[in-house]
Amino acid sequence: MTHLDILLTTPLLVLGIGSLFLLMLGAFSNNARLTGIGAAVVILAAMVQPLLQPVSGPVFAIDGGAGGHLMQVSPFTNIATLILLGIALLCLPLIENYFKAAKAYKPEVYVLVVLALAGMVALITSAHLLTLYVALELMSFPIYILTAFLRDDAKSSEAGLKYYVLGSMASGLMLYGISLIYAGLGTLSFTGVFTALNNAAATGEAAPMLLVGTTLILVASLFKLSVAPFHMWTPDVYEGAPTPVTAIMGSLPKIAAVALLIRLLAGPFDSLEGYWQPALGWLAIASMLVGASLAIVQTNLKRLLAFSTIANIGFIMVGIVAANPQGASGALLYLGIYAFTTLGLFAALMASGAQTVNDLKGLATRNKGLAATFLLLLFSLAGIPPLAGFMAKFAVFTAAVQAGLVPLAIAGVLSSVLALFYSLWLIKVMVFDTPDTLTPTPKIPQGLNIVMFVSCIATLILGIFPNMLGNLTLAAATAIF
Amino acid sequence: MQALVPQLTTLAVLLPAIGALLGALTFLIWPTLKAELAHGHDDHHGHDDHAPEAPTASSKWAHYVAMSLTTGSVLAATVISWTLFIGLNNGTAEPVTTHWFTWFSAGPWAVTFGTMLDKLSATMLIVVTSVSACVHVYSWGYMAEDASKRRFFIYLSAFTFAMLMLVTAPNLVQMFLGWEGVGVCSYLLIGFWFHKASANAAAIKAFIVNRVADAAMLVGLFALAATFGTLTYSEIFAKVDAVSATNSYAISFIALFLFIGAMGKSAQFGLHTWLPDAMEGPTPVSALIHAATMVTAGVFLLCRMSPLYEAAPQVLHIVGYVGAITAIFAATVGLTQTDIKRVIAYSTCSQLGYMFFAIGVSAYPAAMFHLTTHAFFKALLFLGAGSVIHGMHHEQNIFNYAKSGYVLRKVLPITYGLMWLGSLALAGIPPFAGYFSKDLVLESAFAAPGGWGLPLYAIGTLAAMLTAIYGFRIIFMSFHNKPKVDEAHAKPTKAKSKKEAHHDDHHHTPHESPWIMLVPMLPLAFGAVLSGWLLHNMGTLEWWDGSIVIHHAHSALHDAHHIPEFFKKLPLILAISGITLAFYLFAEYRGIPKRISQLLPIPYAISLNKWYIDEIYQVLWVNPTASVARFFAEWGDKKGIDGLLNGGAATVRDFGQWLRGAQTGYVYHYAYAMLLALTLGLGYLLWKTM
Repeated sequence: MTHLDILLTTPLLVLGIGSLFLLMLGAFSNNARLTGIGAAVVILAAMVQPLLQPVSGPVFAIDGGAGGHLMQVSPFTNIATLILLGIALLCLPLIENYFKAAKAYKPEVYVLVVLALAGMVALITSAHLLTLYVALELMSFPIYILTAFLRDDAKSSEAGLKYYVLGSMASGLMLYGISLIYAGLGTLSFTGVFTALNNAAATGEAAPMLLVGTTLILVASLFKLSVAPFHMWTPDVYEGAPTPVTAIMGSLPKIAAVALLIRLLAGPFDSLEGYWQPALGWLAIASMLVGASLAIVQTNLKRLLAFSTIANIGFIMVGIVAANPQGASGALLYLGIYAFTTLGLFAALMASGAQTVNDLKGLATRNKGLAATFLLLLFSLAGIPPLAGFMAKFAVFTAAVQAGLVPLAIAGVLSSVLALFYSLWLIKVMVFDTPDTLTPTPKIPQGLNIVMFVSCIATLILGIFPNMLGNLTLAAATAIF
Repeated sequence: MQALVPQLTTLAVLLPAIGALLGALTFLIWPTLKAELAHGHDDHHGHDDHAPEAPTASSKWAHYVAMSLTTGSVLAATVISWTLFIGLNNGTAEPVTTHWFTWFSAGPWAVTFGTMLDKLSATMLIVVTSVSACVHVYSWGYMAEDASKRRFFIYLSAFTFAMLMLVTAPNLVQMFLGWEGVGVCSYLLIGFWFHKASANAAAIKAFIVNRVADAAMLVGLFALAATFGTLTYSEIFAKVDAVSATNSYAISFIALFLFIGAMGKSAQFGLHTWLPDAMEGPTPVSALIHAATMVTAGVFLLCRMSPLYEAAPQVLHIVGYVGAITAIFAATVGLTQTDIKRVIAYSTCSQLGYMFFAIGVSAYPAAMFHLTTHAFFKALLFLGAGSVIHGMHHEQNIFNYAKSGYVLRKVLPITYGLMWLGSLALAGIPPFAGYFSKDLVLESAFAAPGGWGLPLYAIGTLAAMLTAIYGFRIIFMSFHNKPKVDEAHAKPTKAKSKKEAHHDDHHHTPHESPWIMLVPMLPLAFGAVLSGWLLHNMGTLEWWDGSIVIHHAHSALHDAHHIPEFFKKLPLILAISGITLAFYLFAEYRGIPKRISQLLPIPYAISLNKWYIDEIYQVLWVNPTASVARFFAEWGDKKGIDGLLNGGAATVRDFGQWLRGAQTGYVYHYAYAMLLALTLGLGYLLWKTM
């Protein structure tokens, strides 16, 4: 490891050191807003290195001595990191207003976000099962804390605890899986596991112990992604967490976890495709169905969005299951588009002040602009052309067809009809129902306006020019297959 | 200069769009006024000096900013287009293409945007931008008192952009977007006075009839994509020979369906019914869309696709006969209509028929030539008619002009002169523009190989005489009444017109239009007089530098100059006799037409009722469709599909409710579910490895 190679890990270093710096800044200035600006600067600084060579950079492994590589930087991780950090920037403006209203606007919020981001970047670039585990925990713990951040609020605390208990269980499963892999293969680096599994597959049947280990590791990742049937925590935690944290939870960890899952399946577990492809295909269908049909019966908007997340993760899984560059690219594209659409929706939700679906009644008469934002983003989420959401669905379904998984693509298309249901239902409530009150919505804070604006513009632009992002994700995905 | 051609083309196409967008932005600064919504849509109110909502100073600004932006951008586009056109004459045979961006690509498909400039698109560029610029300027005067005139200008510019995209597109996808774009703008402009029920109905009719044609066109495009694997012009043309050797049936199929699409836009017989009704729109719209540009899109498309049509001779025969039928049909209807704009609309229909039968005998250059000259003189006629209507306070019935008690040729001398120029060009009298192009069309028909074009020639020549009659019927009926009305006689008519919501004295007097309306007619008049002579090279294949392809066996255009002298002169003789006849019938002895109509009641009724096409369609299509639709709405949709869907939705909802039962909120239930799923997964693995 030379001094130049360490430059490639700058995003992680910047975020890690930056979080410490922010902690000091927050502690001494006790100024949350200043810390927030500092967090934005840190995130921007972390983006510099991947921006310099997004898809032309080398595939570079960071050596961990005898244990094999610990981390790997490639065009794929660069693009995933860029999407992650870009979305993270969009998350920051959501925070201030909500926490101020809850009288909990403290510098630590931003510190925790940056710390979680460090974990996510480490997760994206990890090339060793132990790195992976540590990164997963580094990502999860700040989010547990953020979920329970409103200490005096019973719901928030409950949600934090639930998330923590179930998340710990998933971590336990993963650790157990890692130990089984180590017992079977004697190595934990991705390349080592890849070679060993390939050899095992070449000589005959893979040992059941390895399969169980793989399954446990995948289950833990699927838990983070809230793929059905490991999704049960999602609505409760979403509902209880402070709304900006819900928005963060619904976007950032998903990006990291999807990137990791793609790399795991294309890397170490590649030779087990025959095992995981059908299983994950069924889980994708289950997620799409459970998410869409449960969203229909929700009355609480945050729960509704939680189920929408589950359904959308199902669509992303379609791209992952396709196990080809197009699928991985489609999944990344979907993820990016989904993430900013969701953030825009959360911003609109906070701006409207609505808690339940009924609160949205007749929003179109009370605040036209806000209703139009909802409409655009919901249509995009439902996959109506020419909005970005359509292109995202188009990309993953095309990939599934190219991989020969036509039934899966058909199931996906049918599920998107179901998913259309709740989008249209919300729009119907906003536009056609008579409002209970005619009071106009309160003035929308600037931060939320920015997020909604960026989200709407991106929805329109990426809907018409999907290749602006699609070319990048395709180049990124091609690098790892 | 040559190096700049691609950028200039892009600029010419985009300028009107930019103008329209900037114009639309004025709505952000000055939002819609109450006056724009409430009043002033009806043109009878539009000219009321004492309109209840007097526009405020800032709203005036809103209008003038939007109008200047749109008009300015179109004028600039016109200058650029002419520069390009003249530059091209110095000879680049290869089309100059630009690539804007790739919209999306899927597998071997890539849908790209860009421009393609060759003789064909350059000709359309100057036609579209010139007429559009004249119409923009003219509308400053014509729409001066309309309360929502900026909306009008924004639509006009948006239309111009769509039309330019249509003609400069390098592939059929972009062309189709332009094609639909002009359709939408046409809908908006026909229905511009949306408070008038008839305008709404006409707008909807135009849209629906065009949808029918577009459906056929889409079938053609899909077939084209399936057969050729591409929708880019250059790639299609390169493959025509290969495809026609193996699958000539496919080529005929594609050509036929594209033609049906073109029939809709170009108002050919059978799909023409929307065009006369479209006269409900403001007159400048008729001049721009329904005379010079959009309705010629079909002609342009067929000329653009000439390599394909040359490989489908049977379809060309159909094109020829449809064109001829349209030419004679519309001419006969034009004879008896009383609305000045409708007569001109039928005349347009008829002239488009000429263009199509020129295409039918493979004389594409003749069709394009006639398209160009026709654009000038027909736009001139429409604007002239607009000037008359403006001067006569929205009286459109040519029989009522005499009743007004004024001699219009004395009241509107300039308009009168300009209308003469336009009508002479329409009738095909030398040296006016129509003479050159129409004669070329007829001669080409005569010279078609094997003599199959002779019926077309005969029909066309007869129609040429009718054209002269109805064209001058307008002139003589509108302008040539004898001032026999004395003061005593005139008073009752004045009193009558008082009832028609004219409030002050100024409005009783017909008046010549303001200069802002007359000046833009001058370039058009110049075109109507001289474009035939100046551009007569357009009638030769060589002039088109390869943008039009004619099979060597289809020699009609080439042989057109060698037909017997008598048949060359016959249309002219008939046209002059037509004008003379019109003079006697409609200026000197006005009793005769009435006697003729009484003597020949049936032909008269057929002509007056437009061959009963609308009525036939009502019985044949509209009523059955409506009953079928009602049946499906009642039984299929409400009871069938809604029932099924509501049932389906209820099932999903029930499923959701049932699943919701699992969402208990207890951590140990959730953990149990996870472990259960894990166990099932491991069981699956066990089964799989056994």
